[in-house]
Amino acid sequence: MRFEFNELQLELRQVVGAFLDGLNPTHTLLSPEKTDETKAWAQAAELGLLGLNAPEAVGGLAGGPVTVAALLEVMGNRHWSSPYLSTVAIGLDALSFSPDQRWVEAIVKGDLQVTLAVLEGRGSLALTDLESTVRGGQIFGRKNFVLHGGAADLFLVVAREAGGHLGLFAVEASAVGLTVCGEAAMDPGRPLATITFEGTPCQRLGGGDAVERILNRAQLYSAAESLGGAQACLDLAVSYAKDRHQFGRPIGSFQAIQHHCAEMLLQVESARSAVYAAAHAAEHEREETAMQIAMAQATASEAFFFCAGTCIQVLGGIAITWEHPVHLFFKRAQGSRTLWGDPSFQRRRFIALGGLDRPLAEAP
Amino acid sequence: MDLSLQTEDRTFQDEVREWLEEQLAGDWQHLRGRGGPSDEDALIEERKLWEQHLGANRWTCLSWPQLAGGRALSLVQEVLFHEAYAAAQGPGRLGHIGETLLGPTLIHHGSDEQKGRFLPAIQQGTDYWCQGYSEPNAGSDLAGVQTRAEVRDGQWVLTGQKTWTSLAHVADWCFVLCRTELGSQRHQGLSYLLVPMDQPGVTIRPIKQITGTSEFNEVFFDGAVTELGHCVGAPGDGWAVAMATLGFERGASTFGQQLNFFNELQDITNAAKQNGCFDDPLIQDRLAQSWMELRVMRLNAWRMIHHLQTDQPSAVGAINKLYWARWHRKMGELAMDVLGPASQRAQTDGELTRLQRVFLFSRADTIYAGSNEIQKTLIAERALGLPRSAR
Ligand SMILES: Cc1cc2nc3c(=O)[nH]c(=O)nc-3n(C[C@H](O)[C@H](O)[C@H](O)COP(=O)(O)OP(=O)(O)OC[C@H]3O[C@@H](n4cnc5c(N)ncnc54)[C@H](O)[C@@H]3O)c2cc1C
Repeated sequence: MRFEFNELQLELRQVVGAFLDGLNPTHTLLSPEKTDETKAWAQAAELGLLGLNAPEAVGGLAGGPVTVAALLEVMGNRHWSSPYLSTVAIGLDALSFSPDQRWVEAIVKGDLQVTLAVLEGRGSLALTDLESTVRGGQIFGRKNFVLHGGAADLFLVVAREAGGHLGLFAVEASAVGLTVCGEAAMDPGRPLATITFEGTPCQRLGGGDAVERILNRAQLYSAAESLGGAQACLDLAVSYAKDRHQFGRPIGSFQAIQHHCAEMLLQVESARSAVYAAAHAAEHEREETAMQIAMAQATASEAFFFCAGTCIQVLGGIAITWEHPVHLFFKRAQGSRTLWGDPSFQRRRFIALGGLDRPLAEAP
Repeated sequence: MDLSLQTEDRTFQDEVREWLEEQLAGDWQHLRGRGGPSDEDALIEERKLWEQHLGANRWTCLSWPQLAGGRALSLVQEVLFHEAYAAAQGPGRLGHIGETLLGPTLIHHGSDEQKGRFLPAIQQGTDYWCQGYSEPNAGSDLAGVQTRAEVRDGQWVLTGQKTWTSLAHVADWCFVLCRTELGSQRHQGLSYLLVPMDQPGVTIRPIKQITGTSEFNEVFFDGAVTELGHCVGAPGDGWAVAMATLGFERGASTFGQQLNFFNELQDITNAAKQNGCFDDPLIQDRLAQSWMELRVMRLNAWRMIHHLQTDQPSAVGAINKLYWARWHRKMGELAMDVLGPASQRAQTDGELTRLQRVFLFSRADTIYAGSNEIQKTLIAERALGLPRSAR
């Protein structure tokens, strides 16, 4: 039993950490000058990060969910605001269903950015209110809350096929009958868009199974990002509590502050267990994978939100300024919590997936 | 990431399960499921015989070194034993204080004579121990201990009072933290003495608990005596030994406890389905939360085991006690909310129901073995390295 990443994964985490420290994503987001994000993306391609889970045949590393989650945790920790999750973690996976491997190759090279266009109406991940349809190879409908939608080259769209069944489709941004309406967002690193399809040509990637698979994976990887973010907030709070003095002593020696930090650690460590176990289940295609992912997303998104909020409290007034990066984490935490199924949604899912009926003592 | 068990561990697991099933379906069936939390007083003599049966078959002291009479089994196998024991509804243990607290203390800090005298009897289930730390004026702040001992006529003579002493009424021996240097303060001048319970100078008074039953006691020492050689470590070094005792628990028993939690939560879920309140979305949400957290608790514990096995510091190990204690207390509240007004109704013979006892006794979980507040301070200072708070 080894409840930890392997040597290669640990090494990759170091590489990504060093790369992102060089980019300094929070600084970039907060500075008034517009920075050139395409350079960072090209660097990521050079490092091989954009082929993380692509087949070796196209120059990828063929990493499974544990490896992908391991790196997304680091990206969340450094607050990288790229479409890595949707392009690489999900895009490569979804497009591997496509007979045409051009897209996969373009992603690995850094020439194609992908985003998910899933939510409609008020944005429930239950997808019961989904109205987009595909008829004769053309897609009709409107997608809301599309992350990085303005910059994407390709959309992965969930829509209904004949009979009302869900299907997964790829749509190029340059296709006819497609309108992208960019929207500013509370989280400056995550611009949104509304996408309208009016008879836009699309390619079918799969049916309900494919939809379920990529949505599950997206929730898992978002949970991994949240775990990294939660740890970042805990670390910010602890180091500040050691330095900052009031009443003649470090604020970290006040029990109220100590106990805030202890509560954060409890949540971070619990999120870590849940995320790693879910990634492991996904990697081995365990039957209970979806249930584990529901747990991971509920636990990690809650941990992130709690830690970001508590970190603000520990920091005091400085945390309410634009200059201090903690607000970026706070905004991200709120977004990750709501976009990928908030904790109460996940608890309903957990029940539906048999969470109240399964024995406890299978192998962990 | 490899979350599977090795073949030899699976073999061991099968062996434990088979043995327990055979015993508890046969001669020992009357003990099955008895003696758990808030049923501690049940069938004491029979349970001591069971402990001896366990010892004779070498199912006690699994992690002790072989020279000390143990089997030097790995942490994972110890975990598997505890899980299997709980799953088979093995009777509540009486020998655990000797096995997990005093035994390891003697193995590390005891004299050869003490080891020879005490370890075999723990392994064989013939000596039972209780922990004499807390006093009326020394709870979380254990260094406030006031019980005194002095050497008179070649033996230790003790005067003072211990309280909240679990299982003192079934114990043969007590390990007592007491002051042996006149006028000493706080952590200095304390000693760790091994004191026989069956003597005129020791009075044990059961304390009736929140559940109406008695698991803990007041213990009075009034000229109680013990041999000069029954001091663990040097006289005056008692604090260090007492702290070492608290550090030996390797976390394996937490897995057995989780299976008990599982059974309780299953009862609560079934009750909700039967009485119809499962249709209340808020109750469903709380049940789901509780189940998720129980699963996370188990994953946390496995990750802690991984850290212990590989000698890494374990942040997740540091939060374990706080996590389960709070979870269990909240589960007790959920149980009562699920039952509604019927939660107030005791059994026809006046006894409390199992869930009522769980509800009441789970309030103790967040107090003993380091209250929640103490746990959080320890997490902050030890796991996160924050500066020491004012004491
Ligand atoms: C069921 C049960 C079994 C027990 N078994 C044994 C046993 O076998 N042997 C034994 O020796 N003892 C035993 N104990 C005693 C147990 O260890 C003490 O209850 C525990 O140490 C707390 O001490 P106290 O009860 O005096 O509470 P106090 O220490 O007086 O605490 C009261 C409150 O103050 C808080 N508090 C105290 N100090 C601080 C601080 N520094 N910072 C913040 N908050 C603080 C506590 O968290 C608590 O909320 C048992 C207790 C229980 C409930």
